[in-house]
Amino acid sequence: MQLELKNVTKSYDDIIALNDVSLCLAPGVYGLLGSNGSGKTTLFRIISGVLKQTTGTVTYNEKDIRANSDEFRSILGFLPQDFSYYPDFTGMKFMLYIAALKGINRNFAKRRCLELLKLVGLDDVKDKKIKKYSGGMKQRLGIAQAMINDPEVLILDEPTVGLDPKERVRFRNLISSFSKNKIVILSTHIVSDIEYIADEILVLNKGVLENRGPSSKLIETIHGYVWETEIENDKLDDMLIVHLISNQKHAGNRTVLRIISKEKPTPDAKQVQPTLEDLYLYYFRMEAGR
Amino acid sequence: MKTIVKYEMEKIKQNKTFIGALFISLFVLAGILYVGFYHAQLYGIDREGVEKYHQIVEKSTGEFNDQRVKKVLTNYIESYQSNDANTKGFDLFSWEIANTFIAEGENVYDQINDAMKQGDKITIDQINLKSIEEIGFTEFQEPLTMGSFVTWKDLYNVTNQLFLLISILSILVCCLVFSSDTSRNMNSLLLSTRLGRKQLTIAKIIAATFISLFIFLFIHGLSLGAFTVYNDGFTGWDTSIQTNFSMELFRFPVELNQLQVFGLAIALQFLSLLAIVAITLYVSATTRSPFSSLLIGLGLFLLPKALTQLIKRGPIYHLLNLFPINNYSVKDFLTLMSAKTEFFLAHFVQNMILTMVVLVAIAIIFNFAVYQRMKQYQEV
Repeated sequence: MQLELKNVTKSYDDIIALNDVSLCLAPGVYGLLGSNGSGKTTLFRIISGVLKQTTGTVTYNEKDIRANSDEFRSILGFLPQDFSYYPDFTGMKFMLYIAALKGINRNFAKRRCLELLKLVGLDDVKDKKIKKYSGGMKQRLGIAQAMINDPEVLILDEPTVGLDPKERVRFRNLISSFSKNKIVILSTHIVSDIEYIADEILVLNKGVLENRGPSSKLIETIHGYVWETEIENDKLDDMLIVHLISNQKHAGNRTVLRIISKEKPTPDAKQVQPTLEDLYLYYFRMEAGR
Repeated sequence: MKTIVKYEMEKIKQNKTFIGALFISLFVLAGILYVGFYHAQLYGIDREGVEKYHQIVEKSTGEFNDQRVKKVLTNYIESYQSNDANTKGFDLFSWEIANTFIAEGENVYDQINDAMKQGDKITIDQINLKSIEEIGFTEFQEPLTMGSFVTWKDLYNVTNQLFLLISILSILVCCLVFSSDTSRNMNSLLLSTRLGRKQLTIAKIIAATFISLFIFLFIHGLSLGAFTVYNDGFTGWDTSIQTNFSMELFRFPVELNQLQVFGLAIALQFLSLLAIVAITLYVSATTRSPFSSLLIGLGLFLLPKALTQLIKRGPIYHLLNLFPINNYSVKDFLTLMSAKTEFFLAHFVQNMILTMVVLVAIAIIFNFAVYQRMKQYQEV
């Protein structure tokens, strides 16, 4: 089982959304990290077949997914960004509708939908109209619908948007239990979601795949770049202009800053262990206001 | 497939715009039927007009010849000059025949009124009547049949108005089918499923067509029900269309009775509806919002009518006359299709077949275009 992208580029007139992306994915959970506009959604839409790349190929088990689109879509599960729904459908009806579109036998679909709704904690509201669901409930419904056909390739674009911490834990457990022998790719802004469950992290920046690897290995690339220092409050504004700050904690008239910098930011700064959040800021400093 | 069609129909039925439009349409339908049948001219002031009409029709029905015309007009003139309240009253059936056959036209009423003022009476022999041959009625091997026609003219009028109602309602249904999913950002999800590009598209086409046809049958069913009450059954079904004096189709070249004309009108409307549904579905598949889809759909439906106001001759005019908005009216399709100057071919039957074939072709081509578009749909 192998999903491979070779030199995939997507451009809109003179804007390049994806630039020569090549990657090969074996079964496992992949976390796609990228700021807004980095090309995550474009990449997902290309893999799911709703957007055509300008150049390059996407193959699944060495077969072009566009030439074998029916076959590929039958093993695909997809949660698009800004997941939409039919407000007057109940949760169960929506699941059964998607199951029908995935060509699943009605009797099996009913069992499978009930099972998934239970897994995402929606079994007690399955007969309520979706318009009465909260944002988190709709998002969980979106996650459940993506898994109806027990897909070999599962693509989740921002699946944890709107989920509270408890729901996020439930989601992580669900993905972990589901991901055996499957390719799961998910994007999120909530770095900790990826850190806990992703076997590998893909860093996409301005349409370019900048780095990939296990989180520990990626974090290692910024080893020695993360510092903590304590400054007086009146110097805070100057420090915010000069340095990339990943955290600030106020303590009376002093502030403890966590700084990402290749050089020692202040004479008394101490090196600290980097985290994936630091890595995110390191790559996407523009979004962080730097 | 059946399951997907069911869901697609449910999506249409749950749409608030559709529900609202259906509700309004029921009022419009009630209005058309009320004005067309219950409030028709035939009822007269005392609401007994229909009953009197059928009594007169019963006496007048039969082979269409000069003797029968004279008999009808004799009764009409006598009744007009009578002082008996039971026989007096406006007789629309005979009045239409008198308008056709009395050579002096309206002047004859002045003569009769003058004679009545002087306590005298005018007889039919004092009135100059045209003959069937003089008027130029088309002749066939079998003689034409005379019978009830006023009620059938009302049925044709109602049928014309219902076509506009059904078409607008169907355009509204079909414009939602694809564009509402696009405007909701549902396409990413739907088109990435196994059956989302082929079977789903077919299911949407079937659902929209089925609902449109259901609307068509339901509305015409109600209309026919109302007509049978109004017309006391199907009296006059076998009356020749040439002897429908309200429609003045004396020279219509094909031997058809009123029921056959009604059948043709329904068949033409049915095929027109299939074409309208297919065109609107294509518009829906190519636009991003139901509102723009509705505007374009309605615009395309009405456009050929507007163009015929600008182009009144030649092949483009002939082409425009093939579109439903230009031939949905019963009198229009009967007159246009029997004239070489209005249509491509010389004979009514040929033009009717050509129109039907074109409508079916439009339906097939546009439905296929929708299928191809959604099969290859790419987001931007």
